[in-house]
Amino acid sequence: MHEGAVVRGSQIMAGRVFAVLRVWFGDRENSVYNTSVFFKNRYRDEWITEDFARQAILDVDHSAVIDSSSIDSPVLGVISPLQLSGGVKALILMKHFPGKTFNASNCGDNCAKWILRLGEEQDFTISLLHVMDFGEGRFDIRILNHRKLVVHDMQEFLIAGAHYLRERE
Amino acid sequence: MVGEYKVRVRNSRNSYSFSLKRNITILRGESGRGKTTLFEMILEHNRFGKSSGVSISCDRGLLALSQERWDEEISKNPGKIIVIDEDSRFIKSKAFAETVREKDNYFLLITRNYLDQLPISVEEIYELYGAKNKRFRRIYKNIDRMYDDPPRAYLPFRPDIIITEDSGSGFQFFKKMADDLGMKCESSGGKSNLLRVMNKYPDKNVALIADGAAIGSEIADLAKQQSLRPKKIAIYLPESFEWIILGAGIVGGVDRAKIDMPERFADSMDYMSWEQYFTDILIKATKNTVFQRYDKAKLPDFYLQDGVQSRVKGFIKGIDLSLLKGFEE
Repeated sequence: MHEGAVVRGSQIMAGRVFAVLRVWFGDRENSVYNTSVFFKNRYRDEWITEDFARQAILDVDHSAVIDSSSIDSPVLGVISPLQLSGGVKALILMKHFPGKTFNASNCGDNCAKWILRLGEEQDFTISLLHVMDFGEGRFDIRILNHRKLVVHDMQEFLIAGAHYLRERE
Repeated sequence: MVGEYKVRVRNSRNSYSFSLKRNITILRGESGRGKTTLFEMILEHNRFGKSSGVSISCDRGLLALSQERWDEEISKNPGKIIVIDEDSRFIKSKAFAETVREKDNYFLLITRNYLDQLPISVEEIYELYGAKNKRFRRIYKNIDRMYDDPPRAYLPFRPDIIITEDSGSGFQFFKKMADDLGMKCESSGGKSNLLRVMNKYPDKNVALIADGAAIGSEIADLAKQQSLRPKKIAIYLPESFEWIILGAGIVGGVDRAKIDMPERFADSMDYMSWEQYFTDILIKATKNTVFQRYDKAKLPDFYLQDGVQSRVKGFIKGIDLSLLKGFEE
């Protein structure tokens, strides 16, 4: 297997296996579009108190997890996990359902670094109906609209996203 | 619907203040800033009225639209401001675009989706700011219609190439101007091709000219490309080419208020966007003339005269259209 070869979505580079974030531009039949409804029906209490969720909730929603059913929001007071932002709910779902495709256009750009972080830990797929801003750094994102395409920075991601979003369905 | 409407939505923890003045307004921005909370407050007020504890102040009714029977609900509620949250898959559909057309409603769409079927104005794309007291803030800022908030030191911007979204009258106008200046001018053949055509010239200074009244679906990607290629791209977004002609005073006999305050006159039932509104004004203002009679497909020679071109150059303050270097492909 040569360097950069791909096995089941992951990349093997210099003998190490790297997880890959996969992006589908456009609506996808089996994707979870309404992530808030899916979250309401499928989330588990213990997910809220995990480090990933605690940090994402603090960073994105500026809120602190008190326990599995209560979160301290500076604006809303003490809220339930159901009142988290759509972006944070989607992030928690992406972590716990890596086999599902979630609509990440419910996520603002302040969720992008968390999506990249998840993508380094596990293979998973998001669908995007806009070009999310993944910032100035380098990354590896596989574009599923063109399975051989892996992009590494925002310029490449922008060109790919703009192209596939504008393709007529 | 016509006019500008101030809206205030509040409960004990949140207060939202904003104004809407076109048929379509977009609210997007970072997660966790309270967009869905605004939608839910309006939804609760719709269901329970004042007993919801939510207070809404506006001269028009607000309706938070859910997934079910959305088209019926819109048809049953003329004269209202329709608010749609980001989980509503139907806003990407052709059926929704058809429904929005010529409706007696304003629409506030909470979404980041690429919606090329809707003529969204660059001026009506907002994000929320503020903690308890939240307001709408324009995402794309401009200096003399040059986007997105270019440093003043770069203005007026001197292009090697002008790319127009338009392939009709607007392109013919700027092509003549560019030819006279030894510059290249190219039409992208539509707004969705602007980025692709612009990226054919990564090493050139490129000025994009497109209709601000309907470029909303493209602006995020164009502004991102601009930030990735600093100092090389200028984005000039007048409401439309017709707005330039009217604004520069090329055609007489037009009520200035209709140009400066279109929100008072551009009824959403008559015009899907202000681009259509300004086109209609220009056509009506020139229909009884011989040389000025405006045709969107074929620009009369009147508009290509040196005097007219010179006045338009003075009107477009953000682009240097006089001291230009020649283009070498």
